[in-house]
Order: sequence, then structure tokens, then C-alpha cells
Amino acid sequence: MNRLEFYMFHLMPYPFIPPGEDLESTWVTLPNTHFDARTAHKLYLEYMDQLVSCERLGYDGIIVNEHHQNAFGTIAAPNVWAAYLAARTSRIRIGIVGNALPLHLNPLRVAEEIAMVDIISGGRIISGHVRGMGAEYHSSGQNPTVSKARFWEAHDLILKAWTSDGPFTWQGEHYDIEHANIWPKPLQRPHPPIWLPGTGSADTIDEAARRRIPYMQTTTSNHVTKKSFETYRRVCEEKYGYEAAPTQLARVVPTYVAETDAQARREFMPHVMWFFRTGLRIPMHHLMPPGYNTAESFLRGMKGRMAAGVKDFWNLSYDELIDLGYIIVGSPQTVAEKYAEQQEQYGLGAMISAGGHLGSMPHWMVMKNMQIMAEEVMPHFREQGRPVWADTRPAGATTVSEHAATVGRPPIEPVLRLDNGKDLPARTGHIPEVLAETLGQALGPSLGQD
Amino acid sequence: MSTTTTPVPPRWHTEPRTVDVHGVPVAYRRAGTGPPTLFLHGHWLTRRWLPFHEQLSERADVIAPELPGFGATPAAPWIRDRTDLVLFLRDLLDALGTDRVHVAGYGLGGWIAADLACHFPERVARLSLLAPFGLRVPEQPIADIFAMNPADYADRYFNAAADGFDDCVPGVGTADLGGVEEFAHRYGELGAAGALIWTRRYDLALEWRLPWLRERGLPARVVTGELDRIVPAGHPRRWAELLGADLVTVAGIGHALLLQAPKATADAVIPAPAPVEEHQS
Repeated sequence: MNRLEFYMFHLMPYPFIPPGEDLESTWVTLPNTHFDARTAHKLYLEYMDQLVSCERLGYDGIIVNEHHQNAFGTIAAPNVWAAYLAARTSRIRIGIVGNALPLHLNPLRVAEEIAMVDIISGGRIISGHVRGMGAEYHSSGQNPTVSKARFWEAHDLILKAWTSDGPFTWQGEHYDIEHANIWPKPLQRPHPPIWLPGTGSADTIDEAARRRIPYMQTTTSNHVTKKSFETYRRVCEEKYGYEAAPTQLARVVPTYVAETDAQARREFMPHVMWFFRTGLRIPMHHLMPPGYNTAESFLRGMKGRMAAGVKDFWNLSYDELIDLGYIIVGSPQTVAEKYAEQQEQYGLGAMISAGGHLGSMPHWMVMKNMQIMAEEVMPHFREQGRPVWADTRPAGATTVSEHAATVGRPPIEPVLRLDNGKDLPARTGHIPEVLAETLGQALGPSLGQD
Repeated sequence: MSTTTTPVPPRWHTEPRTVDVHGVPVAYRRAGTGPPTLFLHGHWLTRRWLPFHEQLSERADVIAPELPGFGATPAAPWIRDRTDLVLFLRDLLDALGTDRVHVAGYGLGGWIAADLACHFPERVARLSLLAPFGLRVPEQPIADIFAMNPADYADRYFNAAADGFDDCVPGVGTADLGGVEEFAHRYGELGAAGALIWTRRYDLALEWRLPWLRERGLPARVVTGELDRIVPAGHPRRWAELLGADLVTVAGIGHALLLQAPKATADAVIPAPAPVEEHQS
């Protein structure tokens, strides 16, 4: 078993905007007159190349996510991207981390789309479930004061729609669906893996631990990350009576690897700083809409941040970002050592944003980052350098003959019930002998007429 | 301004009394003699007996409750929308032993006051709405109170004359404004407001419900600051049209009319010094 899984995580930013210092926010109110679709066309094609390349490079998975009305991440519809990536790749896992459940009016739509792309991809989907950034409540009309409740109810409904036979009636507090009966259902059984990202809030970790959902720590310092993972493992063990597997713990840590430490630092710096100073320029009045958290947890969080001296993203220096562990940058040896350290000390099993794109990075630099990551870092953590999917049987048959041998014919054949009460097999009904036999008489000059 | 974590009571803070309504200890302040007047706060300026309240109490028996989730009144999980709140307010009136009252409200409170009149017109003797939220006026949306940049408060709420009102923060603000406890308190209050009006910042039903109040002969008055930059002028005009109400404009003032023109605003609600007669509907 591999010691560590590697995921490329793309936000698809649109970096051609003024510096954060000149903006109120990169979210909600940043005028979309800055957005030029022709430029985005070029960007999207580059972003797609980067993601598709990950399969050949040997990444375990590629991840897209959902964000709205901002320059930080322009994937408004991650399931659309996942479908495109499914078509352009064959075996690599595709993570959608995640769909912002409360922002969608009908969770069954998410359940259906994930099921569709899971089927078409041959069972390669990881379904991340998120609430959506606070800023997205300003932009969607959805009410942040019920977002948490809607999130868990939507999550439960999706899970039930995937795993229970339909139709069933869902009568929840926020969703009332008389006939829940999704067609299609996902290929992976009992359902695609679910991931739950979080920043370390105690109740999110508890819910993830209780439901045995892998927990993905978003970009935070080493200190906060370590604490979150310790909490998760402790809650799993003490409260829910099981030992968390390393694959239940993933960390987002933007990583850049180059020939030497100095070279890596030089190349990464402008893009890291764009990411934190401009991309993540989200003032409190956008980030935290009233009711998104309770006043109590808001106060707890504020006091915790003040006590720990946590700065806003855009006030962190490059050295602080490195020293506090928000990012990892260096030579292959440095990066491999840091990854090994985290794997041992934090007990995590997956690194997200392990090489790849960040902020304003040009295409060539992304490709270079990933190439060196694949050649010189990944092999340290793998048997024979093989990604997890290379040794995992796909959920769906990869050829028609395999399908015929392993699945065979469906239990019900489509038929056409004739006037004589007999059933004509629809898929062979065009064969004169079959039709004559079902009719019980010789065929007349024109088929289907008395 | 300070970043202290010790809560400091805001200026004009007074200890409230409490009255139990369905197990919720409702904080309220009450003073004055004259016709009972229920005054409903907006999304800010809770926990205080302002000079405006004092002025009003010289002309009326002013009852100023703090709605669930605001001020010192805890939130009630079963109050989830404005209808729940109006039922709650009816029972609050019962708990206070008041039958028919003059109902007044500021901003969000004006909207709630109108809801109360629509649902229980027999309990409402008069209606006074100060810079009320609640209508949809084409091309004139009310400012987004939930997403406002704190740097804009002085301009938008105080019309660039915010000096002396540092501790009257009209939004969530920042921790620099009154400390982190106050910051969290405001966050909670804005959340309580969000639970009521985030999803829909206006109620189209008011377009037909308010004329029904007019037909019943409910005396009504709409009070607005001449220079209000939160509730555009088309709103009070439309309220007055729909209610057949007097429209009283307080000159030279914006949305913070309670703070910046307490006497003129109180005069606009209940003209002084002549005592106000109880109207019969």
C-alpha cells in the first residue's frame, strides 16, 4: 500500500485583475468587467491540459471544486468539468470537492449529476460535500442562517438517494420531496467516496468522524492542521470507537518543487503571494455572512485566532507562509522530507495541491512543478511508483467483452406487448423468424398490420 | 475604540426588565405615560434607551422589547420567520397586559410593525413606520445591510457625520469597533435579522395587505430622513401611498435619524406638545 496519495487540485483562478490592495474584495463585488471570456478560453484550455496530464504523470487523482462570482476560483459548475475530465482521461480518480450543497435548491440534482459522471467515468468520482464559502451566500440569495442545517439534510438525502431503493418520500425540515427515485444511480457501490473539507471547526470534524467520512483540511497552518487531525483521530477512537485510517485524512497544502530550494522559492513566490494577497482577499463582511455560524462559534473562532495570533491570509509574508506550513516549497529532497514528516507526525494519507497550479502561475511552470513532483517526489511514497488506481479494479468493466463476461444480460429484456398478448423481444424483434414466432402466424406483406 | 475582550455596555445602555412569553425571557424597557406605544427596533441600536426613546416617553407609554435573538432576548428555535414573530408579538402584548397599542418600528422593525397590523389589526390603534424596510420599489433596492463594508457606515448611515456615534455600529463591523464580544454580539443580531429577511428582502404581499389597513381606517404615519442612504426615498413614499398615511420628512438627516435628530424624529412620530388622542379604527 502506498504511504501517501497525491492529488492535483485546481481552482481555476482568473488572475488578470488589479492587486488585492486596490480591491475591496476579490469576491462578491469585484466587477466582472475584468473578466474576458477570450482570455478565459485560453486559460481553461491550459487548465484542462494540466489536469489531464496528471494521469500520465501518475497522480492518484485530480480535483475540481465549486465557487461562485469571484476571481479566486472560476469553477461555477464542477460537475461539468468533471464530465469533461472523465472524457479526457481513463483511469485517474476525479474529485469534485466539492459541490456546495446548500446553494442548490434540490440536492437530488447533485445526486443525479454525480451518479451520471460516476457512471460515464467508470466509477472514478470522489464526491466532496461542502457548504460553500460564506461569500457565496451574498451572491446566491441562499440564506446563510440555515446553511448548516440544509447542508447536512442535503448530504443525508443524497446518500439515501444513492443507497436506498426508490421511490421513497423525503420529508425533512428543508426539503420535502414526495418521490425521490433517482435515475441513474452511481456505479460505485454503495456510493462514490465522500470527502468533507473543513478548516478545523470542532463540529465539522465530529460529524465527519461520526459518519466515517474522510476529512480534508483546507489551507491552514501546520499548527491548526495538526490539531484538527489529532481531534479527528481522537473523536473517532474515543467517541465513535474505531481507528481512523490514514486515507481518512487529507491535507491541502499548495506545494512547489524545483531543481533547488532557492530556485523553487524564487519561482513560487509571486504566485503564492497573488493567491494569498489577491485571490483570498475576502473581507469579513463578505467572508462571514451573519448566521453562517452561530454568534457563539463566531466568538470562539475569533478568540482562538487572536490567542494564536492568526493573521488574515493577505497579511502573511512569504516567509511566514513557509515557516507556518501553509505552503511547501523546495527541492525534491526538501519536499519529500516535509511530506514524510507530515505523513508520520499527522498521520495523514493524502496530500492535496501536491504540485500543480496556484494563483497566477503560468502554464509552463505548472507543468514543470508536476513533472518534478512525479519524477522525484512521488516515488518515495509508493511501491513501484504506481498510483492507487493502477492497482485498483475499476468499478465498471473497461471493455464490452469484460462487461459481457462479468455483468451479462440485464434480468429484464425490453419487449413489445402485442395485441395477441404475447411479448415481442424488442431488441431482436426485427428478425422475421422472431416476429413470426411471437405473432404465431406467417408474416403479411406489411409488418405490424393486421 | 478598543480591541478589548471585556464587554463594555454601549452608551445609553440600561438594564432591561423581562417578561416571559412561551418560556422566552423577553427583555424590554418601558417608561412614560400616555397611550401605550410598542416600539420595535431595527437591525441595530438594541440594548439602549436612546434620547429618542426618552423623547417619545414624554408623550407616550413606550414599551421597547428586544425581539428574540436581539439584545438580551435569547433566540427561540420556533421563531423561524416573520409570521412566527408576529404571533409571538401578539402574545407579548397579552403578557404585558396591553390590548390595543400604537405600534411603531424602525427599519426592519417597521416591517414587523406592519406585519403585526396586517395579522392583528384589532390590536393596533395606530401605525408609525420609521424608514421601514419591506417593500420592493423598482430600481431602488434598500442597501444590503448584511454585506456592507464597515468603511462605508459613516457615509451610508450617518451621511458623513458619524462623530460621537463610534459605539453605534449599524452592521457586523469589525473587532476594532467595541471589542470582539461586541463584534460577536452584532454578528448574532445580524444573523437574527438574516433569519427573518435574508431570503427575501421585501414582501410583495404588502402591496395588497397595506391597502386593506387603509380601508379599515387605521391611522398611519411614515417618517423618513430626508437624506436616507439606506432606504431610498421611493420606499417611504410608497408606504404612505399604500397605507393612505401621512408622510413626515425629517429635514437634513439620513437613516440614523433616531440618533442624529432624536427630538425631531420623536416629534414626527407623536407631535408635541399637544397630547395625542387615541384613534378609533
